[in-house]
Amino acid sequence: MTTATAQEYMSPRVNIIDQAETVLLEVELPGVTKNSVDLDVKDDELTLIGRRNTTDSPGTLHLCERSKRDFRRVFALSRAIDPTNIEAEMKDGVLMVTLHKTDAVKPKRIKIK
Amino acid sequence: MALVRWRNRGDLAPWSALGELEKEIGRVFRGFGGLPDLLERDWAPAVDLSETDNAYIVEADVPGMTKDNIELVIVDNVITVKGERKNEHKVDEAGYHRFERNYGAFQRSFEVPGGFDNDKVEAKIEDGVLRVTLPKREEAKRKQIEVKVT
Repeated sequence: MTTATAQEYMSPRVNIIDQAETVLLEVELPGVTKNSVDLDVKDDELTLIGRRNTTDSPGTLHLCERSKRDFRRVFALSRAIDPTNIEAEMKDGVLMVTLHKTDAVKPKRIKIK
Repeated sequence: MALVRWRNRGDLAPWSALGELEKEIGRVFRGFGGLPDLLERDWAPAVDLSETDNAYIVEADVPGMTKDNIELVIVDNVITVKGERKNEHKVDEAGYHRFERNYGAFQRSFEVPGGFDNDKVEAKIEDGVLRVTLPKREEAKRKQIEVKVT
C-alpha cells in the first residue's frame, strides 16, 4: 500500500490572448511531451498538469536552477467559453490551447436595412 | 553557500551602465502604444550544471525555442549560450491579455575549470530543453592513483 504524498507543483508561465472568436493559451512546459500532459475540463475549471520526464542528472550538481517539479495550473473558465470545444497542440515544450467562445459572445455585425 | 539566482544584466564592463540607461530610455519612447516592445526585457533561462567523470553537462529550459534561434559559442574554457525568443503576437485587438512569457535576447556564459574537448561538444534541443555535453579532456579527468604499500 502506498500513501499518496501531496506533491507540490510548479506553476508554468502562460500567455493568455483574447481574440475575436477564441482565447489562446500558451503554456511553457519545458521537458514535457504531449503524452505527459493532462488537460481536463470540469464544471467551470480547466486543469492542466504537465509531467516532466526528469532523468536524474548523473554526477555532481554545480548549479541547480531548473525546477524538477511537475507543472500544474487551473484556469477558471467564464461562461463565454464553450467547454466542449477545446483544442490543444504541443510543440517544443510549449502547449497551445485554443478555447472557443460561445456563439452568444462572438462579435456580430448587424446589417442595417 | 547560498545559491543566488544569476541575472543576466548584459555586459559587465564599467561603461555598460550608460548603455543600459540609453536602452531603457529608448524603450520608453519606443514602447508607447506598442505592447510587444514592452514585453522584451532582460531574461535568461534557468540552467542546471552537472559534472560526471567524463563530461560537464549544461541543461537549460528554453520552451518554444529551436536550434534555429539558439547559438553556442566556445572561447577557451568558456561556453556561451545565446539566443532570442521573438514575440510574434500582434496585439492590436482590445481585450484582456496576459503575458507571462519572457521575450527578447539572452546570453549566459559558463567557465569550465580544466576546460573541455572543443571538438567533441554535443548539443541537443528537445521539447524545449537544451542539453549540452562537454566532454572533459583526457588529462583533466580525475585519475585514481594507486597507493602502494611496501
